Amino acid sequence: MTFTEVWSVVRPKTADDGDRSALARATIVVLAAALVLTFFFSLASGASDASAWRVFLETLGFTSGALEGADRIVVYGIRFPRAVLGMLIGGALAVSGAIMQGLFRNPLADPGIVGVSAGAGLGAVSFIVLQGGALAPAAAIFGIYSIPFAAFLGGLISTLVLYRISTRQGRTSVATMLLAGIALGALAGAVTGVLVFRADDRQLRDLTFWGLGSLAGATWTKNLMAAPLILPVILALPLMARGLNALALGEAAAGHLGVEVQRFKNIAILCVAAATGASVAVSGGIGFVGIVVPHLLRLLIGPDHRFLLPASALLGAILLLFADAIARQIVAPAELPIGIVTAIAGAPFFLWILLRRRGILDL
Amino acid sequence: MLTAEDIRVTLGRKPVLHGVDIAAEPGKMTIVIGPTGSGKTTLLRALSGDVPFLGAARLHGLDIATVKPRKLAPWRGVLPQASSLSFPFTVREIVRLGIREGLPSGESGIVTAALARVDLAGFEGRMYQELSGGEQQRVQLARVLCQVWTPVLEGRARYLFLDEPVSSLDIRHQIQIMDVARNFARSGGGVLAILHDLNLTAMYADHVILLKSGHVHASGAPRDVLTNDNLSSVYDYALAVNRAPGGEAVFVLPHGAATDHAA
Repeated sequence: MTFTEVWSVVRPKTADDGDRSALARATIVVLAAALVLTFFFSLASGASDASAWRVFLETLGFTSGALEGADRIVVYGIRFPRAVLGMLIGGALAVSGAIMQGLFRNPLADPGIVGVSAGAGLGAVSFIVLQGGALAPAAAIFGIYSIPFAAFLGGLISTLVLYRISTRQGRTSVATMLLAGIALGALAGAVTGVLVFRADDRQLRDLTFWGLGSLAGATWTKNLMAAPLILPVILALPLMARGLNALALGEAAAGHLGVEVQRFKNIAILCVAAATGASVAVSGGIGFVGIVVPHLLRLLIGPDHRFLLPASALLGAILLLFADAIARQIVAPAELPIGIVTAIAGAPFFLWILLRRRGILDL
Repeated sequence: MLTAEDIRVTLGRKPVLHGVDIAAEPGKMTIVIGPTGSGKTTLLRALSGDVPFLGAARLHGLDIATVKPRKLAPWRGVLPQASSLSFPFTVREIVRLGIREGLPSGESGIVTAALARVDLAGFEGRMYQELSGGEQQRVQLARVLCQVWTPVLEGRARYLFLDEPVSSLDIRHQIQIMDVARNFARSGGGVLAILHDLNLTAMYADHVILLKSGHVHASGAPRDVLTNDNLSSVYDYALAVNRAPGGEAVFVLPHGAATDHAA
């Protein structure tokens, strides 16, 4: 039995009246609850074994002293900032994928696949390598926000270039988008490589994790670096839903419905670059979350962005916490970069989407 | 009131409209006809705010060239010639997009009523992308109807801009959709439609605008515009306008066909 056959049996049937909003709202509630559970299990899981229940009680203040000594330090000093960062990054990756897909009107658009993450990585690496020299004044002004801001700029430039290349008169060519994405990614990777050659040993250590993506070394400082770029995007989601829905009908039709298309696209591109830049800046290139999460949710609750965007944020956060738990345990006491886990799970999924859609895509 | 004066449009380097004047009054069916390439669709796109133009176009005093889309949206819905959709929405979800945020009460009633009006009652749960071309076009019309659901708002007419609304429909649905548009006009709304079918134009138009190569060749009541001379000259083919025996109904036939029957 193939996956498609299984899916055809278990997939939720569209209600006869075509109204999936009740299903979507229920899904969001379930996901929110699941995220809370996942968060506490994530705090409890790892080499030092604290029970999730004890962590839950302790964190909410019902008991005190249930966690002692080393457990307390591990849970609150190390795992707590890491779990919070995982949620932020997971949500940001999934949401930037969902927005980008809506903007490009294409389910295969994803910052990791079309070179936006590579552009953001180039921005971040440029800053790390050049902060002692050419970019020293910027480092003085932006402080800890320099790297996220550099990554944001890198992501913004690649998104703008990609959009200009692959979209003509409001229509996006899938093939052009994917191919331009490959070229942009390769270019950003090559320039990044040149910069890495110029890096000194200390910088090289900082750079090693860009390639694969990792939540290791998560601190409250990293949360502070990422949050100012990610939280505004999350807060803006309700404002973007109607525009993205209208854009599904095409740019002209969206304009007829009252959407100021050019301004809206600019905002959407800024959101994609901010969320991608922030996550690349603190955790490197974690791939495929942005394509897997919105795609699964569209199968379940449909493409209405009023529900798809918040649900993506929640499921992205859940999946990244899971992937992080796997990354920490599979080769314990060492840990895999989380990007390896998401790629092993996500790349075959991407191929599966391609397989199902290749007739439609005309590739 | 919709008025456009001296509308000139250049697409790329090609001038498409050379100073077109039209007016579409509330309560009337204004129908634009003309050969392929005469600028019908470009005119409608200019008036919808899709392409830049020179000249003055106003809808209830709003300058179409500069007004914000969200100010214009309550006053006119646009049905394009062809529509596309990038994600698998249900029919209800598509039609719902026509409703402005902020009126959730009765939303489901409007969607159902709009679908019934285009003869798609019970289609709410179908996937849009699985429908036939004609059904998709009617779903889009239902969405546009939702956008301007009451033909009159705050004492002023709302408008339907329809670009070949019946091009992929069978004859029963052609008549049905033209009736929907005429009822909208009879209830006080305005309709500006592009048609290819001269006989449907003769049946439904209150005002006909005949375009030729980016100019208005003739404009006025159907009986004044739909004449042998006008049509034959614009379409560059001998056409004969006939009157059905014992009635007012006008029909147009190619000259050769008409004489064959007469013979």
